[in-house]
Amino acid sequence: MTEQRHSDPAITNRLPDSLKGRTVGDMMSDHTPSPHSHFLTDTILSFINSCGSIRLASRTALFRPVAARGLAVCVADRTADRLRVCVSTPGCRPLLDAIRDSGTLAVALSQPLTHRSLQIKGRDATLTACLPEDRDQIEHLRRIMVLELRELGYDQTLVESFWKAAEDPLTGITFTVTGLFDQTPGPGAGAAIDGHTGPATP
Amino acid sequence: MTRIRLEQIRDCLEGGVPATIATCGEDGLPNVSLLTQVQYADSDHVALTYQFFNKTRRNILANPYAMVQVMDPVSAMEFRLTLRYLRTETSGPLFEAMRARLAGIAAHARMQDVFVLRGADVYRVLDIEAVDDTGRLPCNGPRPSLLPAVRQICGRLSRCPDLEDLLETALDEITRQFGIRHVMMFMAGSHPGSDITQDRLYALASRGFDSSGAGFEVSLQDGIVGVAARERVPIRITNVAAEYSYTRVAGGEDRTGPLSGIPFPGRIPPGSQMAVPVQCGQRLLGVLYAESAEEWRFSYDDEDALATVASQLSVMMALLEATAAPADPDPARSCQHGGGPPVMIRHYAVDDSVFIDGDYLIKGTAGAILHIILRDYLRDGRCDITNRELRLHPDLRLPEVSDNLEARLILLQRRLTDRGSALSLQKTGRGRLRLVLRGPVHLEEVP
Repeated sequence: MTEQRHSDPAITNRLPDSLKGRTVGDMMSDHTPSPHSHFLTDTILSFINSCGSIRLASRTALFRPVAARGLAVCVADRTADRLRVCVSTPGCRPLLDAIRDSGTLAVALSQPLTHRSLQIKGRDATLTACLPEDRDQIEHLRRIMVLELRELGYDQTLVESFWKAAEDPLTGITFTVTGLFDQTPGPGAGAAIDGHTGPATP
Repeated sequence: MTRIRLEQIRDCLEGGVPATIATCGEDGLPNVSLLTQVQYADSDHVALTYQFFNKTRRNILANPYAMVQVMDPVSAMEFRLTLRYLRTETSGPLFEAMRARLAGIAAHARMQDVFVLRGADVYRVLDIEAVDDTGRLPCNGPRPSLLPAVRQICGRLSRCPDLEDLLETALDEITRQFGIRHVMMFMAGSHPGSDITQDRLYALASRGFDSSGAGFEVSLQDGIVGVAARERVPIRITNVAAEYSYTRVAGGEDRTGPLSGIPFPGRIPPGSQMAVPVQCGQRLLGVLYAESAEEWRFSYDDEDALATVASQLSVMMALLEATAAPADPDPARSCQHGGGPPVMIRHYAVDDSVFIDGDYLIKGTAGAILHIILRDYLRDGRCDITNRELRLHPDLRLPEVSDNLEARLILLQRRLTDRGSALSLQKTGRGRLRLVLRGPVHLEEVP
């Protein structure tokens, strides 16, 4: 299978030159796509790799929801549909506690410029360490977000402050993907999707 | 640690950065989604937009707890709000205020066809927690407190002797103290003889526009001013929202008032708009309107400040109306015109519209007032008129209470000033006006 580069021209055209030549696999910790991967198709991985806006949710033992922001999504084990989300440890303590309680995780990924959004549902979430190469993925997504937010007119200070959490101690949340849902705003939001179509365009 | 109050983080609720909402279904599966708008309702409540019947919605109806994470658009500080769902409102002030703001946010995001408000979901705020856990709060940057300015404006308003001075002072001070360059005062009114009270608003005075806009009228269904009046709620839109705006587009047709035919004087599409009702008790007196070319110009604090001034303004308006001074005695009985070319006046009885030298001037009660003044002048040469005479005039049919006569006279004076020098109404004392004519008057009566 040929490695996919960024499939979305709106994103690709804004990438720094240093990142334009890199494939999705270059930036993922698992380079070997597998026919057994149910959800983590090249289309989905390409989308994951283009989204700097990462919102997270879990819930406590009492079914109380907890929200947080993620810094990067990395592939942990593609054949087993396992992903790893990197978060700031001090900024996400309630979420980390909730994951210890329930092992559940929901991840919403979106492209601010296009509004295309995807929600990944997961189970068996555990707290792990982030790998050194995860920092590369955080930096890659930070650059994408900086470009997109600047284009949307956000203040540069805000954009940079947005990612200061990446300097904190990090924790990885590794989980198994159980479902993918289109979350692009509109009446179709919430529909389950397979890994070959990706989220809709509004 | 001191509990964080909702008022301390209201800038996070402006919609500058989409919030995150986490919910949990009965099956124990969490859901996460982006939120377009988190609206401050009061110290203990926020309202979230309900746009689609999605997973978030289903979860909330099954399990009413939610967590929302918001970000300050300047400092990027983030806060977690623990919420409990209470109810959904599908009409009324909160709903309309959110719908107007959502229109601006949608236009900003180029999602006008997607973002449509179906309801305002009201939540109790159970807890607020700073994400970075340092106890710091976002500061307002260079933005000073508006309280001293509010106090000064209210003090000045309380010393105004009549309605005209009151409105002039209010607009001058709002411009000067709040730095709002474009502001307009609308008065509540109704069609003469109509049984329906207050079905429209007319502009009486303004600052910062090409012209005064006096006489520009809107219905309670039209634009941001109409909605604010109808729902009796401040409406604040932080981005361009064409459907709530009155501004003419450069090169396009005039966006005239749907009722009066007088165009709105603004030419720059507003990036931000704010309309605050002026009401005394249950009675709507008018609406204070402000706009700016800049997006995100008006904050929750600006809304609070303008609403407070509007409150003081309403009390003073009611007070001045209740204690209106009697007219000075012995008005002059006759005057001469200025010796200039004739002034051709046409009056249409059907709606009391008045045209001067072929140009539309005014209609409704203000038109009826001018017609009576001109008719009396032509009959017996009188040019001095008192408010009391007009109030008792059988042809004017003013209501016995809350006749709004002073506001109508100000409107008439403004329109005459805007339309040139053919004739004018000059104030000559308390409750007294004098008709000043460029030349001889020819009054044509059209049934």
